[in-house]
Amino acid sequence: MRRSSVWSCCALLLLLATGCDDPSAVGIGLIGEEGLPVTVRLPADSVQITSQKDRTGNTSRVLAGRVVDPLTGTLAATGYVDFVMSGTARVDTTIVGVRLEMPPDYVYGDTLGSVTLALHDMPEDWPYAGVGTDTTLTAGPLVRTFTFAPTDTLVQVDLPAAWIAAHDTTFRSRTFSTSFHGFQFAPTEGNAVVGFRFSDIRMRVFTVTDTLTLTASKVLTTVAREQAPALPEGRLLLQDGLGQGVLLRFNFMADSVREAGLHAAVLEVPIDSVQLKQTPVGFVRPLPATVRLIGVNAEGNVPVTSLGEPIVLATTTPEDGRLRFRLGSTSLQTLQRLMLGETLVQYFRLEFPTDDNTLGPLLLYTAPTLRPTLILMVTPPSL
Amino acid sequence: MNMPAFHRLLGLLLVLGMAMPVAAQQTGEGSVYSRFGLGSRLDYASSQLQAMGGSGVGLFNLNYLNLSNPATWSDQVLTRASGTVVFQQLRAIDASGNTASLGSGALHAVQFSFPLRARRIGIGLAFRPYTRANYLVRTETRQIVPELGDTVQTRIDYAGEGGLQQLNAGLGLYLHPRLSVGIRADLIFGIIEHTQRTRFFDPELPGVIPSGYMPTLFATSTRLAGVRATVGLLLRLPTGTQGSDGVAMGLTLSTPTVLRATRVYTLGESLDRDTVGTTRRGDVHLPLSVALGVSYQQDNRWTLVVDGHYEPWSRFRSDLDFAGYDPNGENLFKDRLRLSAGLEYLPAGTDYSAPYFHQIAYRLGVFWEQAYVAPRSNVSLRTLALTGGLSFPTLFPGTRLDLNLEVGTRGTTARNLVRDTYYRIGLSVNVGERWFLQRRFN
Repeated sequence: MRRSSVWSCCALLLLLATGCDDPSAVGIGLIGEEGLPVTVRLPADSVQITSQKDRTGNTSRVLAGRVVDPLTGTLAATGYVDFVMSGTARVDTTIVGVRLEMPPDYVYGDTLGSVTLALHDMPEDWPYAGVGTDTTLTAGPLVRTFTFAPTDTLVQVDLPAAWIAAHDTTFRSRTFSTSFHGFQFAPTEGNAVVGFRFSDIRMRVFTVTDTLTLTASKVLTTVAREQAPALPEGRLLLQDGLGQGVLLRFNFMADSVREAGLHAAVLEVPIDSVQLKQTPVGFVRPLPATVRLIGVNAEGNVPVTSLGEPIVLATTTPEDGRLRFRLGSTSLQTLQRLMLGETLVQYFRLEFPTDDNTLGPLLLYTAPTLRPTLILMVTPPSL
Repeated sequence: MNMPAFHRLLGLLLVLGMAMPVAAQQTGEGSVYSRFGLGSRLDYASSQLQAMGGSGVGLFNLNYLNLSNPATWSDQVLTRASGTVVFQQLRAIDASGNTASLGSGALHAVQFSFPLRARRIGIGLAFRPYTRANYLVRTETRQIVPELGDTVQTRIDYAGEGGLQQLNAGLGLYLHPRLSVGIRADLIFGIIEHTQRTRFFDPELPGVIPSGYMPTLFATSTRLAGVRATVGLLLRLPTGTQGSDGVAMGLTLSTPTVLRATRVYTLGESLDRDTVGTTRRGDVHLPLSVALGVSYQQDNRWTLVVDGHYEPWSRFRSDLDFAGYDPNGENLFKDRLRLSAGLEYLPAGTDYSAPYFHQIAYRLGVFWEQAYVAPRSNVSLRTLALTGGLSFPTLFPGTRLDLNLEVGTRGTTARNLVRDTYYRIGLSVNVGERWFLQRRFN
């Protein structure tokens, strides 16, 4: 045998020694299974209504109307719409008519009756970005009132000849977009608030030779509560469009979760869907399509990640008498840090996303047994 | 030896030294019994003795630094450096017949020694393991979580990493043709870490992590450090006409010592760990260690060693708890006893002109050990192993390459325990060269 053969044999032996690993539960009896994750329920320490600015400027719809809800009280919504004329469009012949076309996509209230709105000119430019629903804007003279059924698929409003004549110069102006300031839609009669889809609102200008279509450039909704709600005992009303939120606080230093390893989390918020479903005949009370959970710090600000995302964020839809927020990885990491004693966020806030403008109500329970509860899957620390 | 060759061998040692710890971290799995106490107790005396049962308190050899007795360090001629890597493959089986196969590789020991005065005073330095915790037990559970509306596959890995190392430095002194003494300082230090990693998978799609689930890693790290002293005696009784023939008896005593311990609990991955709970500090009292051995050498061809080690771990005390030891409760620690015997046959003896295969040393050994901690009360953990090895000469006198094999069994499947069957392959490079020569002018 040559020496090189000897070293080859040695190398082969070493390779044989580094076999593949195949770990298994053999020996678990010597360790115990104390580490299997468990679920822990952590009810909110406190549940309280908070106010914030509800922004409706250029959201997906504009609301108008008044609803007298036997459960949530009376709410009046006033809508504002402005229009823009495209740079190439010109009115160069006689205007024979002007019509507003607005497709409803939301109704809250009595669907069997009719709704009457007052159409006012807006005398000056009005803000929409960052404006809350409690803002008051001064409207101009009444143009006309119009009545429609809430279930109509398209509401058409022909503007009076006097109004057309008064605005003839404005329509022919190259500065239409800056000299015309749109309309206010104020509730007059009826028992419903109707929402009109922003992207489909049109103003059509009929001339002798042509028809010009103007699209809506901005919308805004202001909401006023005119009568307080009549809630059953032990309930808390959270309603979209009013700048409301609910602050939840949890004790992450409770023995059951402190310094535990977090795997998964769900926030469950029971809601009184029975009360919400009880309505008079023909009355609809749509629930909010989306509810958002967000983490806020002691100053009320929303901490964000380096990518600008809130460090606690989840959304859900009311279903089966509850809101169920499933937390994603960023939120889980934040919760884990809270369980380790950090105070990145002080509260969890329930609120409504501002991109979907509704008046949807939610009834939360205030009784301790039905409070919002975090369900946490954790591995207890083995200290 | 010419210097380039010496540098090549030193380079090999360095590569082994740097590469093996990485390999150990990637695998690092062994017996579940290393979860107990401070980890599995490891002995390493030299690559020669590794193949001869693992101990040789009464053996002196010019080709190896014998770490089991500093008195043998007096008998040195060459400056020596050596490194040993060990690969282990382990198969564990329980009473139900379930098995686990685990493999690992690690740098085992590094030694350096030189004579201050040839065959009179010698210095030795070594870095070698004292204990090692390296296990991996994996459980898989299909977990229904009604509160979350999920069913997930929960995988938990219980693992141990690290262990205690010892840094030895000492000298051996020739007092009399029949008597040498030695003294050595042992710095014992290291980190023992036990981890629990929990992960989740889709039960229907293996390997797919379900959304909304986050893994966790809990770790308990205990850092320990302390110093002890070891004294050794070596008594030589010549029996034949050749100077090397004879019986030698060795005795060593390592003093009890106190390791300062700091324990930290963490949650999270390696670079993003959060400390949980409070850091705990305390003393860990290691017991003394006594070893007695006898060797017999004849004609530079035959070497026989018989050894016994005793460590009274039943007197172990600690402010911190370890698996099998609770300062305020259960104590499963027992006195450790290790008996070993080994044989070496070198056909060529000192005839360097003999054929190559006659210059290979053939070694065989056996050892029996009762571990210092019992996994269950009234159940001792015993290991029985056979060792063997070949020592290959090189072109450079004084330099050898050793390949060792150890096959053993540990534990029992009774009482919900497991039986380990393992084999270890050790590869050692022993480099010897004459240094510190005084230049002479005619």
